Amino acid sequence: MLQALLSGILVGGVYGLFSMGFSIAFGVMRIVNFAHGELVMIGMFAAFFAYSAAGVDPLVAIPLAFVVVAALSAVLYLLVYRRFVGRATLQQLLAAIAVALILQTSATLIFGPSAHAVRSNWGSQYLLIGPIFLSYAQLAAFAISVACVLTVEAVLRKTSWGKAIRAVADDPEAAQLVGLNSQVINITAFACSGALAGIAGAVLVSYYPVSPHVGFLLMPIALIATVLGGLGSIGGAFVGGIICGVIQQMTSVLWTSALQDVPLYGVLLLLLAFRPYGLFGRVSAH
Amino acid sequence: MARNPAVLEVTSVHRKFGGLQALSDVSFAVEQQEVVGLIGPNGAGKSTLFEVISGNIPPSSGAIAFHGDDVTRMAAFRRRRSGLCRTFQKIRLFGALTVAQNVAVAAQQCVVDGNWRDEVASALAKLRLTAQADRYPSEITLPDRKKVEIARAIVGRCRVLMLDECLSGLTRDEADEVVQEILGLNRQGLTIIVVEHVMPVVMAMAQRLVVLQHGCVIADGPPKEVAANPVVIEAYLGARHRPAP
Repeated sequence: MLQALLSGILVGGVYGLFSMGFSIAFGVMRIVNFAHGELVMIGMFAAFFAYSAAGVDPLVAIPLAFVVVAALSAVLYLLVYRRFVGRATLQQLLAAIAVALILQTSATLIFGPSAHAVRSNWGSQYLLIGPIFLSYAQLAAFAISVACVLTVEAVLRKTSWGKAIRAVADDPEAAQLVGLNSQVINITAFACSGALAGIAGAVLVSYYPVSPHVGFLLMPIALIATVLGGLGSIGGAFVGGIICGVIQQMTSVLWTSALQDVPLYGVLLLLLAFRPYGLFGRVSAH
Repeated sequence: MARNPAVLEVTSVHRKFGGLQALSDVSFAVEQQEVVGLIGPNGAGKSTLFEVISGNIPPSSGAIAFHGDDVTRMAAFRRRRSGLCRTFQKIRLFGALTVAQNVAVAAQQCVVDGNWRDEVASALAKLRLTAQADRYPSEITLPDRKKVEIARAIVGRCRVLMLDECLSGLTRDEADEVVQEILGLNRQGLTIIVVEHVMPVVMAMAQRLVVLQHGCVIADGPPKEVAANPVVIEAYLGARHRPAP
């Protein structure tokens, strides 16, 4: 049980990282970016490409994944998402699903449909503490995730840009009328959302194989973690990700790993029925 | 006597929402350091006109000039940065930010010369909000929230301040306090346009009234003159109250 709990927390840290990115896009622009899992996938492929082409460790390739996915996200925002800010959720969802399918298909064409894994020496080693064994790769991934989350929280709370983002998230129309250029804020926020997905991808690929369809598996976790943490609560999404990781690992130990996602969907349904604003969201959250 | 130059000119502005003509051929000008009251019955188009002037919604046709520059197609945030500022009918402070941070987000965009931190402190001091600087909007009184909106609107470069029903929901004493702050800003050189339903206050504050009905300007002049205008009396009270010729 303790093993499952600790493994769940470590895995959940990375879930929390990309869920925070998803939550930023939703919190600031009210965009439910169903292509967010595909952005994680692109980050994984960017790091895998650095590894396979130049032998660069995925963790060293984090800046590459950061830049590639942030730039791609900014382009996607300008080409697609900006037209859907403030529009009905159904239109946004359809647009995001279309983007997800285009990214998946493009990745299949470029990298092929099969899964690719990074085989680094340290990535497959474990830290033994009595009966508990923890993967070095997962420990590193968790530490990086926590560092990123703390950085994002500090940026949002302390910097001018962070306060501007929080103002736009609160009331985009009023923000425009006090002099904030919402369009610029949205582009940078969406790039930041993608950058977190890129970092998550780079750390994830150090212990999890990448395929063009991996985003499809990750997307529901981001959604559940965001709802769990509270819609609009960016820090809450990280905690939600950790809870998702723990539920998955506990299910694997107590039931079967084949059905590890089933309780997650149960939690999602219960939340939507009884506490739709999540654990840390405000009742007025959208 | 020479007239002051117009700082804001609204010329033949029309705005249609589907089949509804919200504004129809609206024209008026506001001079430097004037206090203009924009009045009219409910649904007259006052708030729509504010939205159009501030750039939140575009006019269907017509033009808006600010200090001689055509700003008709200028984005709302650029208008604010150039000094065309407003508050909202329903308070729209950023709930996740403190009073000082609410003012600071505007200052960081709109202060062109000098230090934005000094400007924030100055705006808070002008509205006597320094003691509330670190509180959240939910922790302060309604009159103080109204004053924070005004502080956020005037910080940095503010040349025309548009106040949309900023006295609604206040007691008489609270309203008097806010009015004194507004008149103080006007004495310091600020041009003010005010939409207000509390007529005695508007009559006392404004040097000129522009009256809207069904999206059209039906009167424009000094308060006493407008108050005696039969067309205005009819708009507010109905035809049976029209004074006998």
